[in-house]
Amino acid sequence: MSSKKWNNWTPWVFATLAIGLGGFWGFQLHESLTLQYAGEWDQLGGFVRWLMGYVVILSGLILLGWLNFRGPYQWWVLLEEDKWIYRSWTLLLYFFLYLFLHWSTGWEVDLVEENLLVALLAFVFVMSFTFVAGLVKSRNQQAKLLQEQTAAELQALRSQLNPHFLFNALNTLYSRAVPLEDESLAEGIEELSGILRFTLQQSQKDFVSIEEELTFLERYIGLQQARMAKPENIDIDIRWDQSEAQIPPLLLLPFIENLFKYGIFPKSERPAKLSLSIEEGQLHFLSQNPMYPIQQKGTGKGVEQVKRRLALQYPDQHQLSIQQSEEQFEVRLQVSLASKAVHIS
Amino acid sequence: MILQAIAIDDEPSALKVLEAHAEKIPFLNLKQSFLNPTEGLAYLQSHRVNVVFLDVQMPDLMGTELAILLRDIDVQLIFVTAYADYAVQGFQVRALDYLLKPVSLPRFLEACNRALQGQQKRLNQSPSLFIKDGYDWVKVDLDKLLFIRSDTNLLFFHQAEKIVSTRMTISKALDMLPKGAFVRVHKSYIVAVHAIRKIERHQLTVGQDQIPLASSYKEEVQRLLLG
Repeated sequence: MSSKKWNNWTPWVFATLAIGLGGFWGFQLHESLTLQYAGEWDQLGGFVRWLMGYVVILSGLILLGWLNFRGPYQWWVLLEEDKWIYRSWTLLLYFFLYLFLHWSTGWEVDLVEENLLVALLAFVFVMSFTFVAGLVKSRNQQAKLLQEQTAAELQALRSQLNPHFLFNALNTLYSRAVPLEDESLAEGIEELSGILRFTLQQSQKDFVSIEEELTFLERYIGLQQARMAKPENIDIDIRWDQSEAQIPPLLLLPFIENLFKYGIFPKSERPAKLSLSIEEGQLHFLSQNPMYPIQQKGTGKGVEQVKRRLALQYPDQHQLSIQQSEEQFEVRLQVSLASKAVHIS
Repeated sequence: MILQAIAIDDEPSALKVLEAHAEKIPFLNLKQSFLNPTEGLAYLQSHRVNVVFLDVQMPDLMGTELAILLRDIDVQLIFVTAYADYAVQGFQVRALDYLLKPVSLPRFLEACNRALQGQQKRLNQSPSLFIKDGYDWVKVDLDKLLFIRSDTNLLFFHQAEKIVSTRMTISKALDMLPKGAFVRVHKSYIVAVHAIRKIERHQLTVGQDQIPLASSYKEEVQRLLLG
C-alpha cells in the first residue's frame, strides 16, 4: 500500500528536481557568459559554434552506434559462426574512425598518436552504445517471450477445460452410443454430462432448487454405484415429498463422497447406509458405515467446508453430529431449509 | 398434426443425435438436417417448416445471428447448445426452448411438446401433448385434462374418461403445460383452471374429484381463478 502511494508521486519529485536543477544551471551559465562576454556579445557566436561542434560529434557517434547495432551487430553477433566477421568489422570501424580524423586534421604526421587515441575513445563509445542497445533489446525480447509463453500455456489450459469443447465432445460420444442396443452407455454419458454441468454451472450459485440438487445427487450416486463391484454394499434411501425448497448446491456432497471413498469394502458383512429425506422443508441426512481395521483417513477439508457453510447459511437452523466408534462411523445432519436461510453475497 | 422440422448444426454427430430422437417422436417429421447454416436458411425461405433445431455456436454464422435473419419467417426456434451461456441471448431472439447437449430423449420430447402446442395455438386448434405410457405414445388433449397427480416417480393424467400414467416429475409436467391454464395446488397435484368447480378452505372440486389445496399455493389459485 505504502509503496504504491510512493510510486504515484515519484514523477513529481523528478519534475521538481529537473526544473530546479535546470534553473540553477541556466542561472550559472548566464552569470558565467555575462562575465566573459560582457560588452562583446558579437563573439558569442564563436562560443555557440564551439558548443554545437560537440553536439554534432556526440550525435554522430550515437548515430554510428545505432547504425552499428541495427546493421553489423544484428547480422553477425547473434550467430555464433559469424562472430569473427563482426570482430573483423569492428577493427575496420576503428580504422575508418582513425582515417576520418586523420583526414580532417590534414594528414598531419605529428598528429598520428593523438588521432589514434581520440579514434579509440570514439570507437569505445560506439561499441558500448551498441552493446547496451543489444542488451536492452534481448532483455525486452526475453520478457515478451516469457509473457507469450505464459499466455499460450494459459490458453491451452483453458481450451482443454472449455465447457463448449467438453460438452461437444461428450455429445459426440453420445451420438455413437445412441444407436447401440445397450442403452446404458448413452445414459451414462448423459448422467456424466449432467454432473459436470451441475458442478460447472449451478455450483456457482448460492442456492438451487431441491429438485436440481437431488437429480444431481442421484446421478452422482448412480455413477458411483456403477463403479462398485457389489452395488448392494450400500443401502440407499432418498425421499422427497415434492415440497419446494432451496438448498446450497453440493452441500451434502462431501459426506457422500467420503462414504463412497472410505466406507465401502468389497468384503463387508454390513452394508453402508445412506438416507436422505426432505419433508415439509426439513432435511434429514444420515450416513453410516462400518469401520475397518485399516481405515484410510481423509483430510477432513470437505467436512470442514460443510460446517463452515452450515454456520454461515443456517446459523441455529441445523444440527450436525459426527460420531466415530470402534465399529462404526456415522454422520447425522438435520437442516430446516424452509426457514429463512442467510443468502451470502 | 405432424410438425415439420429441420435441424442445423455444424457437427454431424450432433445432427445424428437429433435425427435418432426425432425418429422416436410420432408427431415430428425431421425433413432434413444441414451442416451449413446458409443452406438451412435458403431451405427455410422456400419450404414450409414449423420447427427449427438450431445450434448456437457455429463457425460461419452464429445460431443467434441466424435467428435474427429468421425473424420474418413464421417458424418456432429451438436452440441446441453445448453450454448454457448463450441461452439468455437465445431467449432475446424469442426462442421457444433451448436444449443442452447431449440432449436426452425426455428433454427432446418436452421441447417437441412445446412446439406442438405452439403450432396448435397458431392454428386455433385445441392444445394437446404426447406422453409415453410404457412403450406407447399417448395423446393427451389439454381441454379434456382435469388434473395431474404425482405418486413417487409416476404421474397420472386424469381425463374425464381415462387416466394415463408416465414417468415424469411434477415440475417437468408443469413446464410443458400452457401458463395460466394449469396451476399447482399441492406438492402432488396440478389442476386445470377451467375444470375447478369449487374452492373450499383446504380442498378443490375438479370434475367429480376432491383435490387437496395446500395453503402455500392457495393465493395463486385464487389469483388465477378470480382474476
